[in-house]
Amino acid sequence: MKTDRKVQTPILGGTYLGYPSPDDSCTRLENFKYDDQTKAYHNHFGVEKFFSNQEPFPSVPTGRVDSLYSYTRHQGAQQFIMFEQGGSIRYVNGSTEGYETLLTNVKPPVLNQPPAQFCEFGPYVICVGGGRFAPFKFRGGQVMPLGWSFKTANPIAFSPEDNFPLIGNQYFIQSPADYDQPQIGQLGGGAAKDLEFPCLGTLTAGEFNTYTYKVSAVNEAGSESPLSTFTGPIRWETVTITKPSANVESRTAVLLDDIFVGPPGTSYRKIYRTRRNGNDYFFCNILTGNKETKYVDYIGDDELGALAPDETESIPFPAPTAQVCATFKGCLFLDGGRSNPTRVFFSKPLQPDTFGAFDYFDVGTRQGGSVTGLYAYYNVLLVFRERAIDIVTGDPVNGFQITPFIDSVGTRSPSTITVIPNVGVIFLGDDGVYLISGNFQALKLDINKISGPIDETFERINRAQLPRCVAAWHPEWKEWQCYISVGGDPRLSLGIIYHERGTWSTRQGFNVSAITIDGSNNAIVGSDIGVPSSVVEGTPIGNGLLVLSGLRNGGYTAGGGGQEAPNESGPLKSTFRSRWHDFGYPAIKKHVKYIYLYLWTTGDQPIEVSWYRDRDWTPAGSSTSPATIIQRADHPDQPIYGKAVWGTDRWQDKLMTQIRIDVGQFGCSDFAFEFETSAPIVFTGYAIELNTSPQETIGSKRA
Amino acid sequence: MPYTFSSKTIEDDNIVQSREFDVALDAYVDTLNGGIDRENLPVSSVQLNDRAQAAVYNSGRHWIFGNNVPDKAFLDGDDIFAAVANNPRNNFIIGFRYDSDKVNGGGGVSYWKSMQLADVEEGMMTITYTQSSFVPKYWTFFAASGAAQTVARKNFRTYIRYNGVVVYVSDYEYQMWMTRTHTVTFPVPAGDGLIELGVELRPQKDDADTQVILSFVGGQVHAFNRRR
Repeated sequence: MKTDRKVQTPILGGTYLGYPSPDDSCTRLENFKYDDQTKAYHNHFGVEKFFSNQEPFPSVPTGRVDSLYSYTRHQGAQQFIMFEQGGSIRYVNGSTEGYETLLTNVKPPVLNQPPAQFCEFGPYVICVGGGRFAPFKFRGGQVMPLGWSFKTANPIAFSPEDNFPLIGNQYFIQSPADYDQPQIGQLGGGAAKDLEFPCLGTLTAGEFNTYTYKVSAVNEAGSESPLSTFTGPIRWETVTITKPSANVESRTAVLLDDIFVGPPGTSYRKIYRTRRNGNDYFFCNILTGNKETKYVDYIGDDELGALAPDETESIPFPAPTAQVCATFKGCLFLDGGRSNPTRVFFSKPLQPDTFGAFDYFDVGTRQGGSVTGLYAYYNVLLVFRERAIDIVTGDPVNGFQITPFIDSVGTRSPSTITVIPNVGVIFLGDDGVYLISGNFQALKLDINKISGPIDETFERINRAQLPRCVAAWHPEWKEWQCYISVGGDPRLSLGIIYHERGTWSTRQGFNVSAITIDGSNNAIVGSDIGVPSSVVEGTPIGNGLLVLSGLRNGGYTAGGGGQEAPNESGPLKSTFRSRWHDFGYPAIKKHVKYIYLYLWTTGDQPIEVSWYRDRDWTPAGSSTSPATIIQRADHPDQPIYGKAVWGTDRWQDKLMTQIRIDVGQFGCSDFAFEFETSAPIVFTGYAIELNTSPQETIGSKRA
Repeated sequence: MPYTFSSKTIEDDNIVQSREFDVALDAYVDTLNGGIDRENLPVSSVQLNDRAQAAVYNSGRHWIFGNNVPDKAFLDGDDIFAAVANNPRNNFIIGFRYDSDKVNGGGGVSYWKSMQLADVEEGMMTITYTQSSFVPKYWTFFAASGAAQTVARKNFRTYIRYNGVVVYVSDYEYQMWMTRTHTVTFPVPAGDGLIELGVELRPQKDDADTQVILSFVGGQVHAFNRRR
């Protein structure tokens, strides 16, 4: 049939929910992935089990995966998929197809609490949880506490006088009289030079000697703990010791006991001491290892080393309830957590455990709420707050400065702060998605709201659950996936997808509670179903870790009886709805004749197209086409799996084609169509052919 | 690459697309050919009998050095103790003295023995170093009456350096007569390897220059290079 008009959208854009809509937009694009090579949206993706030969992994514990992080080392040869589930933090052991437990007694986050946050610092991955567990660092093998959680306990120092009578009125170290005598066969008289021994005390009889000690611990990261309080001063009087040959005054040594044993990761302890009758502390010696609790000090006053560090150089860990963390310019930045929600603490450079007494900012001097996120971008650190963003510049040598960046825009969703290569830092705000971009020196930072096309979605977002939202940039799929909670659903049931070409789509049916990208660019996601099996066949199940992959599968269902292997629940349903076309002038009635779908051939799977008129999405005004297969209409069918004959049929390639859908004639002002399919589809665009008529919209209804 | 997940789904009614099939199959081939590692090999799936010894280690070698040989530049006899007046039995102690060039009053690390390896392969190096030493301490070795020299207690630390990088530092060693084994394992690149042994002596204090403060009785170093 001849048509007098046609409109074409050869390359489809993304979802746009406003009015008027751009020419290449659509009103719904759900469960599609964009392929830049063919400029097409397709549905060749899904989720699969982490270990394909197992039940949903792991079978225990159960419950949603609260946090997830992938940490690799040794050029990716070793990988730790760390996940929080059921009150424990674990990592996957690929060899045993099991897991190792890092931390137990973790209090699961409540619904409005962010998941655990991770950042990497040299060989360590650092994990903080807002007070749900003690912040820790991990470099494979061992969990070590982050920071020095308490001031080191002081040792006990024994004055030589304490035991003087017990050891025969002698000092702990002195020159025993026996050795004063010349040895048999030796010529000449003997008198030892014991008076010169460089121990502690004076050689002047009757004078008093006073010393005090402090200790600290140094861990494998090179971080020195806060100094202990000083020992009670030990004091003794130099006395003349009676010996068979001659009376002598001797220096002596001092015994320290109960020396602090550091937390896991401690390499050695440092001992500081005053000089005789002095007040300043100097480095005395190190006690290697983390086991010995006794030390005998015989270092002379003039053998002492440098002045002990000031007490303000290292303080007890100031942020035990930290919720977010970031590494910037070699320093670890942490928020103060619930106890200090407007403070940002930073460590000494290259020492993630050492915090100075004055190394913090307080952003509470300006309206904007608590600190909710930290993210290093080029040479600034972005300090996200609930309703503002500040930036930290500078370096640890010349000092850091904090500057306000923007008011009234912030985030409550630290797990959504992500960087998109060559684009900027993207994050979920209260009312949409924002993008911060700038240049390398960060001389000019711009912030823009980029979620305008799908803003209507955010009207349904559950604000209380913003902290739980998660996001990741998928480097292979070239899309930013953000999972949010809408419509009162306690789960993150809706994925909003920002594709590399700047378009939006949505994703449903995945049940993602956490997401991370592993060392091989796979997106590992946590299941929020938390049920590994069911006796009722067909019940949706899922537990632990899943992987987003090329498997066209939306999830798993129970095989029944609780024993059978789970079944794949089948491909996700993909939905496309075109924009409303008024073809330039809505008042004239149009008669749409054909829709041409620009598709790449996929095979004999059927597709049905429905069309609507005059902005009414109800079925009342719609019709549906007969099922059509995605093969070229005017050529022989391409061979398909299940029918192709080995050795006879030839291998094929997907071919660009147009599938014509005949539309029943009716007049309309606006026209739209949709298709919903689980069949594989590679969809580039479409064209619509129509005839116009002189018929116009009738007069309005009288009141 | 620890894991390979599905990159494509091949299902009925799809056209027999060669590229799609290849991509799906390549994932398996790639894993089998180059991606097998500890992450996707079940634990204990490879037993000792399954692998050739030569595939695991490169070389094990040992080297023994004997008793100290008098060396005017470094190791020397003890002038005080050797004097007939103080040592009528004429025992002779040779070892480190504070006045030697490399010791220079102590406090630093003196690397005094080395072993060159020519064909180290990338992997792990295990160095086992057994040493027997004699530390003359003050209560057994004191200055003679009337002499100007004095002595103090001694200790030392053992260092192992590989291609200029310190890979091992012992704790302070106080024992007078002692045999101790030091072992360290660390990753190494391919190429030459120079193992050096060193000692850190206590700084000189009220001590005579010409007395021996540390004497090696003997030792053995054993380098074991497991290749990747």
